[in-house]
Parts: sequence; C-alpha cells; structure tokens
Amino acid sequence: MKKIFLVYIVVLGLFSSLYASNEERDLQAVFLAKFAKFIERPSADNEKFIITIIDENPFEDILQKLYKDKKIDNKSVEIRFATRVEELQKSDILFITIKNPQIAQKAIEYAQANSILTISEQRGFAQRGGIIQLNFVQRRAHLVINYEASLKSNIKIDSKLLAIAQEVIRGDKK
Amino acid sequence: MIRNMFLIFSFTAAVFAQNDEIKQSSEFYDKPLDKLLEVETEQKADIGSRGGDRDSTLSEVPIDVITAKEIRSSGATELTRVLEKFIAGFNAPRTSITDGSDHSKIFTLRGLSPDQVLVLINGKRVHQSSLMNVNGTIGMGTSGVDLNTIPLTAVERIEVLRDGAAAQYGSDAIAGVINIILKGYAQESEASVMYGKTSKGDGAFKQSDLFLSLPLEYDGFFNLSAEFRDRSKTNRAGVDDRVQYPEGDARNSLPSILLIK
Repeated sequence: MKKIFLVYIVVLGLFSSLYASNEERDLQAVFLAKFAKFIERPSADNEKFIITIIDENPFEDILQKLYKDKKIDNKSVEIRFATRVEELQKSDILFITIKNPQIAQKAIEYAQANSILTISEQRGFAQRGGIIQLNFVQRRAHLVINYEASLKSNIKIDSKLLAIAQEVIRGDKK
Repeated sequence: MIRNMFLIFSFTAAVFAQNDEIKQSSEFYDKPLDKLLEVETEQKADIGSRGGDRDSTLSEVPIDVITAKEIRSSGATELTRVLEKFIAGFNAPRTSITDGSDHSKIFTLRGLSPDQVLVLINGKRVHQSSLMNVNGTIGMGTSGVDLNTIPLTAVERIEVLRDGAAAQYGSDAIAGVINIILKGYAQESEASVMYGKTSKGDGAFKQSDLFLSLPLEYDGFFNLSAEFRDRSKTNRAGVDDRVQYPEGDARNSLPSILLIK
C-alpha cells in the first residue's frame, strides 16, 4: 500500500507540472472580456458574444473553460476558430495569430470592414492597423492601442482604456 | 487491482491540476483592468532547456533569476557585485596588486575555475577576456569572461544555472551557466548619476548610466546603453613605528616615507 501511495505522489507531481498554468495566457484570456467592456461598436445581431481565433490557438482550452458560464454584454460567450481569412464570419473579437504579414493584413481589413475588435500579441500589430496589441514586457502586460484604426472600424474606445495603455497611436493627431 | 488504482489516482491528479488552472484565470477575471496591468506573471527562464521559456520555479535544475527590479534595488553598480549578492556559490573577490586581474574581475561559480563557467548573452556564447590571471589570485592560469563590460542598465534579467550542464552546452559549462538577457522591445529609457566617497574623504566614486530605447517602425527597436565609472584611490596604510634597525642606528631617526607623503 505504501508503494501505491508513493506512486500516487509521483503521478500527482508529474501531472501538476504538466498542467502548470501559463499566467501570460491566463491573463490574455481574461483581457479579451475586459477590453470588450471598454469599447462601443455597432450593435451586432449575434445572439452570443463571439470571440474568433484565427490561425493557431495559443490558449488551448483556457477560453472555453473560462467563459463557459460567463457573460459579456449580457450575452453568453462562444469561442470560434478559423484557419483562413475566408472562413471568418461576423464576430465581436478577432484574435489574430497569423504570422504571415500579408495574410494577417487581410484579416485586419476584414475586421475593419465588419467593425470587429482586433487583438494580437504580435509586435507591430497596432502599427499595421490592428486595434489592440497586447504584449508582455518585463512580466507585465503592455498595451498598444491604435485609436485611428478603431475609428476606421467604427469602434469607439473608452477614454479609460486609452488612459491606461502604454502607447496610443492617434494617426495625424499624434 | 493495483493497475486500476493507479489509473484512478492519475485521473484525479490530472483533474486537480486542471482545476488549479481554471482557478488562476478566474481569479484574474475578478480583478479590474487597471489591476490586471499590474499583475506580474511567473518568472520564466530560458536556460537549461531546449523548449524555450518556462517557469523557473518548476525547473528540474537549480535556476536563479535576477530581474531588473532586483538589480536596481540591490544598489550594486557592477554585474559581478549583483551576482555576488544574489547567487549562492558565486564568488568575485576584490583583488589588489594583481595587475590586470584588479580590473578584469575574476569570478568563480561553485568554487570551480573561471573558465569552467559558461556566460551567454541572450543565449549566445560570450568570449573570454584576453587576460590570463597569473598573479596569485583565484583561478590562476585561467581567463574568464569580463562581466563588468556589460552595463547593468542594459540587462533585463540574469538567469543562473547552478549545476553542471556540459552535456547540453559543452565542456565550458561544468560549474554552471550564466545567461544575461538584455532589454529588448518596448522598454523605457532611463538615466542615472551616482556619486559617493568614503567617510575619510577619499575614494570618490562617480558613475553615470544611460539606457536609451528608440522604437522603430513595426516591431523594430534600437537600444543604446552606456556606462561611465571612475573610482579614486584610497589609502589605509598606517605608519610602521616599530624600531626597524639595531639600537643606535641613525636610520631609526629618519621620518617614515608615509609621513613624508
């Protein structure tokens, strides 16, 4: 019996380290909903609040578990995945992980045309026309917001969100 | 029976670990946005693994990580002094009258020779200095990396692997590995000036540091680090007033050289 208990302890330790949480991903997952509270976009006719991830999914199943019983804008949350820009449908947030700059640009243009809030962790995303760039610098979240791109997308960003961003791109008004 | 129990235990362990993960993100969810921006994520280290950054507290090997914040709060002005303060087994004695070894600081990790410590900058090997320590100091007959050539303001974090890692890094990583991660994208520019002297009024110490970060288009950046340090001499030698020569010798009445000075 002692041996079985010992094996149990070893297995417990092994699984704990395998499933050790990635705090940056957990934070990013939470930020998606928080940003939604600070934006105003043309009312979507979707019954659910849709978050779409295009290309690779870095969150694994964090988003599904986190938003399983939560509501954003009084709507239940649905997580969708797309591998190509052609697969994109109307959604509220588009999280872009596409590495190819040309294809990423197409996704940004699609989002702009459909008033979708675009978020990415890629460096230079905001300069390329994305709305929110969310990086981690020295273990803390670093926000770059392209205000000009949000206006082009017909999305209004609350001044509180603009105030806490480390960098705001204001276009000609810069 | 035993096999079934093993499977049940494994399953419960996995469930517990996953629940912890959800708990973590749920805790974050309850915080307001401005508080979320203040959250410091886990300390990651790139050293001792081929799998990229990972949580240093879950590493199978002893890894210490010193952050830029800790470097600033330590009050140390040189990289060797920082490592001496934070890393157990890191030793960098202040030598004197040992020629070049006085200036290119000798250091040891876990008591092994300076040339048995691998030093990396952003994961790339740093060459050893051309100075060989030959003046009766520790690490005599070897030459190590001159760590003090790296300005502290350029450093984002220092990862130290306090274990032999020769199988992974080669024969120069017997004592351990020091990986210095330089500041990169989206860093704040900073400058500092320091001045001090001893209570005796000598040994004036002057140091000024500059870190300038210029963002370039898209994901580019240009970082410039500069450091100037000057330390004046100190002299704590006293007069040796013992009788040096046989009684009656005229030289006993001569003033000490130190007194003349």
